[in-house]
Amino acid sequence: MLKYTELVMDHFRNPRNLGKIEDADAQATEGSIACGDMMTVYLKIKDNRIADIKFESYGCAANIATASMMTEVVKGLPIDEAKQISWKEIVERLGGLPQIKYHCSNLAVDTLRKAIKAYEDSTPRGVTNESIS
Amino acid sequence: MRVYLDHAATTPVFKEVAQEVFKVFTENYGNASSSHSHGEEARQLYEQARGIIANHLNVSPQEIFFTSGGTESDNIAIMGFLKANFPDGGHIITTQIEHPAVLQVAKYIQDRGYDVTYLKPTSEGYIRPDDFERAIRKNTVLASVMWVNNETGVIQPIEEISTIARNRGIVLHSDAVQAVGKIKIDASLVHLLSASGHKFYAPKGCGFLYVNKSVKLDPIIYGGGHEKGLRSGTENVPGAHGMAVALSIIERNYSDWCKKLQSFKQKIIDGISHLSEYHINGSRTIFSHINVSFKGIQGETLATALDLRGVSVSTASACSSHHGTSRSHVLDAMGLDDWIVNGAIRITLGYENTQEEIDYFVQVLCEEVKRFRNI
Repeated sequence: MLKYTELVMDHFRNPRNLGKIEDADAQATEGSIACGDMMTVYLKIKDNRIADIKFESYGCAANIATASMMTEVVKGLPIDEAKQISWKEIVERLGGLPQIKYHCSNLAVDTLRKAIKAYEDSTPRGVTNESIS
Repeated sequence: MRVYLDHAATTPVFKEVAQEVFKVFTENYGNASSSHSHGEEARQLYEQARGIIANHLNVSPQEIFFTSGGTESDNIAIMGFLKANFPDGGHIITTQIEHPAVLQVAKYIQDRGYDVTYLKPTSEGYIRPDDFERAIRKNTVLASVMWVNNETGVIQPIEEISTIARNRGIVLHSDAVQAVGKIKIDASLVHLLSASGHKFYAPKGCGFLYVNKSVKLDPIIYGGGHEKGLRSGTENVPGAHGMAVALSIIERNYSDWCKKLQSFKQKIIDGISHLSEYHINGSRTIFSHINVSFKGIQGETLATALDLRGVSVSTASACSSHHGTSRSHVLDAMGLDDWIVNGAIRITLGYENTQEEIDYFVQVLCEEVKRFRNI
């Protein structure tokens, strides 16, 4: 097994925010053609903040752990801040990853950004879903 | 509980072998090429080992050459044969599912002007003798087909291929690293055969090459002229002795152990049968190997999860950024779906495994598969 930190193994064994959000405001699926990993992120947005986030993964241990950590980090953040989260921050929060697994953390961040973009594209600027309804 | 199920990667050294090897290290440590009595003692053990190994493979002791292992044996067989007999080129037949120790040598000689055909296996991982025959050209001089595939455990039709090669006057090499110590091998079916000690409960760093007496090889390592000049380097007496003792132990227990592993293999196959959407890769497989893919879970992920619960299995495909990814060239050659290639784990049983270990493994495997299918 690759050398993973205990925190990585914990997130791998017990992923946080796992699953689907049935009435998600936005969702996105992203895959890495190179390694076959795939993941989906579901977002619930309230007052321009990430009120809830869940993910599903068909990926390696590093992908599952980085996705899990990413959801913990961005949950509750304004979407503008969430967009700025980098894969480096996620990796640091996990106490590091083997270098050959860096791209797995990219996938977690890329999928998040894609989901946020899907939300923004579907919502007029400056108008929250609450104010529409 | 810790369970080792990666015997195709390497095996533990039998305790009795370790004790015997220790004795050689500390008591029969003479240089087998020295003429004094210390050397003579070592030489006797060395030649005795050669005799036991030759007998195990149904060939004569003069045809066994000790090496450092499978990779070196494969290199000497292919490069030594071409160097001695066809230094100016020719056509070689091998397969897409060989170990890198053969594939990389094939690539090397290809870059130096030889023609190489890489036979494609069936989706069951089997090299068709008909395909082999069709690939033969006027200038085909050598073929290299493995006896048992290391990833799938598929036993290749060496007997049929041997008949074709003989009829067409082609020298046949077989990488039998995964076969020796597990199935009865008649090495005289081929002209050259590679084996590695650490795959059959002997130490790492020792192996041998069988060279039929009709075949001439040139060395690729030069020095003091050991092993009739084919493989210079001080004789590895502990290694040779260890291999001989290991093979003797296996011969003694063979029918019992064979039955035991067959029943363990069946137990695993039965144990996963209630999990839907999985694929067992390869048919006509050796009793030690199960290569299986579960839909919805990457093989690497499952192997990591099993490792956390104390079970060591291997995966041929891994998500790493060295080459974007490392996919199993064997499963790819079989033309299997992406989920099968990405999802494969290799479970390889060994003679020391116990019923209790297998029961624990089946339970843990089923639990982890179910858990990860929810992710």
